[in-house]
Amino acid sequence: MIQIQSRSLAVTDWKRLALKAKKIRRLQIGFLIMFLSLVSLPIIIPYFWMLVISFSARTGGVESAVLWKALSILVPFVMVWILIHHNLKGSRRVFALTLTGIIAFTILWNLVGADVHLNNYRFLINANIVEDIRGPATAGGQFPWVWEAFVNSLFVATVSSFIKVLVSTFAGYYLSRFSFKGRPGFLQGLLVIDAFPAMILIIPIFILIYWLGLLDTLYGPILVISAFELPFFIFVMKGFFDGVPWDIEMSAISDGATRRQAFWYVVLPQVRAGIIAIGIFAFIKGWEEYVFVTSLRTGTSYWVMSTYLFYVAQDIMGVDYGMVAAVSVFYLIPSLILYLFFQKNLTQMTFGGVKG
Amino acid sequence: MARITLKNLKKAWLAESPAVDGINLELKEGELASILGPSGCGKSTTLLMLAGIYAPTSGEILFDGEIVNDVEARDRNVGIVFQSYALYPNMSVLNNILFPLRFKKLPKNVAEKEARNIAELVMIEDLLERRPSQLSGGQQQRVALARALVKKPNLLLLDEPLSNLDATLRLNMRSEIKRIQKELEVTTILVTHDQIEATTMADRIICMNKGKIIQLGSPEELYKKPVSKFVASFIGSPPMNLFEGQNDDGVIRAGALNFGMKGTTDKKNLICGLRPENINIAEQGIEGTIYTIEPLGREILYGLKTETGIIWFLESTSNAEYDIGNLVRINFDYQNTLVFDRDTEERLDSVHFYVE
Repeated sequence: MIQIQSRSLAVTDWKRLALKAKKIRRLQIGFLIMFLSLVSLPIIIPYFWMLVISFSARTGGVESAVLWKALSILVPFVMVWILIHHNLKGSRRVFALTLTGIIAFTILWNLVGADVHLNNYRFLINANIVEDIRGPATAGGQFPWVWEAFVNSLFVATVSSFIKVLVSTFAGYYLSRFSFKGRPGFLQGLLVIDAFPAMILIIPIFILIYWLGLLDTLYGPILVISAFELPFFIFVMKGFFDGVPWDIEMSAISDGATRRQAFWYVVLPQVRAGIIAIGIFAFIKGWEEYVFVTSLRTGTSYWVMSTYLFYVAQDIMGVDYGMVAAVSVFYLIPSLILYLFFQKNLTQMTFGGVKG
Repeated sequence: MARITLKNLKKAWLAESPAVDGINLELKEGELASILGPSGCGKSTTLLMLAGIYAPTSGEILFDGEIVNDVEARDRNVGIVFQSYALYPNMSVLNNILFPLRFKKLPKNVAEKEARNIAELVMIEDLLERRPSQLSGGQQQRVALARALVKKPNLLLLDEPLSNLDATLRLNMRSEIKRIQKELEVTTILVTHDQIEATTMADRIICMNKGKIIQLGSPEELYKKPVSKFVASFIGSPPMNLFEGQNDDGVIRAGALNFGMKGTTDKKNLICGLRPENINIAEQGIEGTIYTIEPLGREILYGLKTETGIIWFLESTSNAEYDIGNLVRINFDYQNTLVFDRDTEERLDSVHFYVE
């Protein structure tokens, strides 16, 4: 038995096996990078195109030539950037990166610099953009300045996310820690509510909001979208609270804290990541809301960014793609900033609760 | 630093199977008592009732002769060290220790001075600015101890405090905790399932099983005069040899072996108990072949195959060593033997057996 084993060991070519494993690993990584790049292209290119159009389109026409020129510089530039980042270290890396950056920018500026302009962004400073485009007395006064829509959107997003965070935090804690009659049913109910499309309730909701006298106000959509998204957020927060050990709370209570103090000083800081995550998600949901803000107003009583963008893209404005793209970019910025700043917190959001 | 009394304490989550089933106990001031028992015997439930986290179903808890059943957990001034340590991850070590003082409304400099004193006592004065996640298991344990002690508790509760530590650290903390406890003279209850922890640390051991106290006494008492087979098999390492025997008019027949009986009993079915450390190699005695060998350092644990089954015994390494298959004879002093009634599992007082 022992002899057979040692003989089979003797004929094993360990070096060859190691080489083989290395080759396979390299192939796998290469394939993965290729695959991910290919998949991400259709996502990145439209955004990039939107950006290019917003800075280069002149009335009506879309300059696709600018896009191709820019891509022909930027794609090699990104590749070189990655190569430098992988192969150089310290000050040499910084130097090489700055150098390629400057070179790429110079070439880019010479190629497309003449086509770049800010005219499409004039809606930011022009309070009556419709008159500017279609001449005086065309639907004048109906269509607001973009900042008005911006502030309204901000209001909807902030207030609804505040409501969502507040309610889901307390409800999640209660569901996680207390047992009460009908708790399992309640939890199932939360999931069931989330399974129905909100759209099917539009007419009853419209009537309800009308009776409440909230039609044509921003409070209508705020309440409705908060109510619709709460089940999911409550569930997520319950998961986060489930991840906080009981021991810590018991310890705080025997240290002299009341239940409320224990919650405030000890439990809440540990679900901070969860609160930030659902806060951002809630904000972005409110920011992009379209269905309820359009269906719960009867005229042009209020404007938010989504309805503003929709009307800019309508014929009434004489389809100016440059401006549509510019409004889109402007609309995108707050979400983008939030994502960039709180990326880390968002990836921590799992159904199970808090990670490490 | 209080005298603790439990009167007929009961906790029943389900009426038919109480977790703690009528406990009577009296702890002197400054005493270190250990509740010892297998998992699920109700020891942690007892602890949490003392802390005021669970309300007893019936019975009374008295601190210094006053009933505290209805006193809130936060007002009982009880320090707990949990198995998980339950440190507050969002606070520095210093703030962890200061946390219990926050509710005592002490002036800040006084509180901080006390925290630093206690940190010095448990030897973590260099770690005060760190976060719990930056500490090793043993350091976290010390912080938890400091936090429990800083409020000068009436009662210190230790819930399996050593089971998450590695072997050397455990040995170290065992004597540390004992030293600190004696220095502060705080009444302490140590909950553990590890009999070595209990016997080495406690002044008195409370042996529990199935929600009831089986025996209460000094470690020596429990070792030498266990009231039942349960206590006898729980205390002592390596565990006691137990084998069944039949009482045949003063002769115990165990398998093919016969033992003489000292003392008298009318019970027919018996269990004989014999500790491995009380058995010696001898010229005359039970014959058997060595079956297993476990070197323990200073001693060797042998398993001897005899006609009643395997008997474990300890031999000093300095004596002659035996190999598997060797034929040896063992003998023992009758005073160290225990005899139990097989039906009630109670020990029969002043009944012993010997090799004929």
